[in-house]
Amino acid sequence: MEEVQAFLTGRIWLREHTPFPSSVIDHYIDKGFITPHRGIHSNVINGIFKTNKKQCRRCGCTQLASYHCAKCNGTCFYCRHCIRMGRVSSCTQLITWTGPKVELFTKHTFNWQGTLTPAQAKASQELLESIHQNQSHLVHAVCGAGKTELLFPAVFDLLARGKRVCVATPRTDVVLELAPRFQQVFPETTIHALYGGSPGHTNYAQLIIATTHQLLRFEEAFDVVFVDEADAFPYTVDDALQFAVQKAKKKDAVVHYITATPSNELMKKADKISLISERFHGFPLPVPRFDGLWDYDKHIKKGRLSSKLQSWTQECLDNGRPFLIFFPTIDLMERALPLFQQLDSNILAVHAEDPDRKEKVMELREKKVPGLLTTTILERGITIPNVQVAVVGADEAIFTSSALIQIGGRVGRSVNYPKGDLVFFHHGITFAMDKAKATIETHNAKREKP
Amino acid sequence: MNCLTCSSLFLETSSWQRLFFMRQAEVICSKCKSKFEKAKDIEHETQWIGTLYEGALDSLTSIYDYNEWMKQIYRQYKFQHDIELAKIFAQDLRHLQKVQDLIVPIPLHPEMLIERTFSQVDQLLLAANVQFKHVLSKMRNSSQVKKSKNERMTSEINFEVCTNVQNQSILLVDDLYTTGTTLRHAAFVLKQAGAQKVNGITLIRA
Repeated sequence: MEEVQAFLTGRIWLREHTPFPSSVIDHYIDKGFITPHRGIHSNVINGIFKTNKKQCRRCGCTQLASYHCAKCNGTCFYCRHCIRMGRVSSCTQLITWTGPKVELFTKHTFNWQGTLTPAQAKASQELLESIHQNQSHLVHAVCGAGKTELLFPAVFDLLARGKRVCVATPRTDVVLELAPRFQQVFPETTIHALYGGSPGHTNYAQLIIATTHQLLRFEEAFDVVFVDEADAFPYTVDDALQFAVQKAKKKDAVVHYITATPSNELMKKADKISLISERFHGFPLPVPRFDGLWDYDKHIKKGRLSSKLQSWTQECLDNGRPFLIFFPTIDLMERALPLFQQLDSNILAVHAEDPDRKEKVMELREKKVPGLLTTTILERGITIPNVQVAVVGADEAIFTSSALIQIGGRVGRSVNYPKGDLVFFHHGITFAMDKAKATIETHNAKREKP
Repeated sequence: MNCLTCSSLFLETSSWQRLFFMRQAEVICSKCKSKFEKAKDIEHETQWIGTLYEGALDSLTSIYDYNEWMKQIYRQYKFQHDIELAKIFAQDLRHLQKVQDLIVPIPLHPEMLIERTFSQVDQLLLAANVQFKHVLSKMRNSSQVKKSKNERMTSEINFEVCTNVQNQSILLVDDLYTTGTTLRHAAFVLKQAGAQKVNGITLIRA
């Protein structure tokens, strides 16, 4: 029984996709330990007109496709939204564990020698208090404040009390970065890192680091959920992901948020907010400078690189400083790539669908590549010592103030190189650019007057 | 309209053609659509010369090339059971509505059909609103997928004809043409049962 229990506790799984034979599952269904659910359930909404809306049991999506199914010889609905996790349809079964609870495991080692800055310590303490009072907490900490470290004491406190904890984030890159750090700090704790294409686990983990997407596979599992980078794409635009977080936590569990750029909505949602305006190394945030770069798109389309952009890049190359240049669209970036490669043939470009993204970023860190052209995909979660950053077309709508703040947050993260150039090339200063600059300056001002 | 494959929003251009000829609306964006490649015209009969099946298939047409993009879409359609994707190819198969021949899809074994919950060939034709008739049935539930090229080409016939096809002109429809064994086996049994002519069409040519 332990195996099935360990696998299914807190999970909601397609019956055919479990590693157990059908007879075993039937046996536990008879005992009442496993509860089967219909893949698509009807949600009756009582309004003026009573409507019967069909909904995917796993992701909550209500836009379903239908066809004549040969298995049940009738019309079947299926959900396209979460189809990559195995199709959920009217005649598939999702199963959850409703049997005896997993034995609490409270012996965890906390192997962390680092120290928190006074600002981090204060926020960490406030977060702990909120956890004990069961109220939602938002940690609003500038890029490079050391958000992950201040989570460690809170997570340890929860684990030691036998709670099941999840650290969720919209970005796979962030999961990949966080998981090894947590494993190092909690060496005896079973930790699962879950993201699209991650290896499957069949055992029970008390701490789960996952993309918000993977939380679709959990139901009433967690005592506490931390959402890191809670304002990142696609979490904010995809209702299913917010549904996933709500579904994955236990009914009375609380969600805490951590981000450098909270939306107004998020500020309202939280019961308590801790603000950290100071980076862990104590140096101020790099303030962006604005530089007019007129008709950059026309220039690039004509196969010319503006002299400003050229000299900026050349300076980075000459001084051996790694650089990132952000572009508003993949199309413009790809047109610009050969022009940059005339300066140095090793310059590469990355975007969201690039299969070699991880490797290219690694090459930049190892200085095998002098610089990268990128879309907003690299706005978060990457740390490269002494990196210089330029945004081409900072006036484009895709560069919201929070995107610009996050992009700026890449600069000066390491103690050895706390400064660096952050330039927004534009043709017309936008409200978002002004807001980003003002926000950064406000944080810096607060830092000086504690 | 949201693109069926990349789910990005796209605008459908209105045209006179659409208004008067009631062309079906696009279901994928132009960017996704441009990733499909038309199949190249490759000689298909040569390797069958001298075998039992020489001349069984009178002609063969394939619409798309099996490029990486098509592989991805096809996998999502056939193995992740995303039947909605059949609509992408509705426009390419629509001309079969006017074909005089009897349209015969390659069938699935009944057990396989229940396991997969749908027949990938039937759904393509249904999406394109093409009338068809099942005259073949599969005898054994075996898959070609794991076999080598040689094993496929020398495998035993797995079809039988279940209705009268005497003097009929038939158009066989399949999803994917790899070695051509399936279509030739089907054409062979149909000819033996008295079919006058057997042509073939596949969506993809590997």
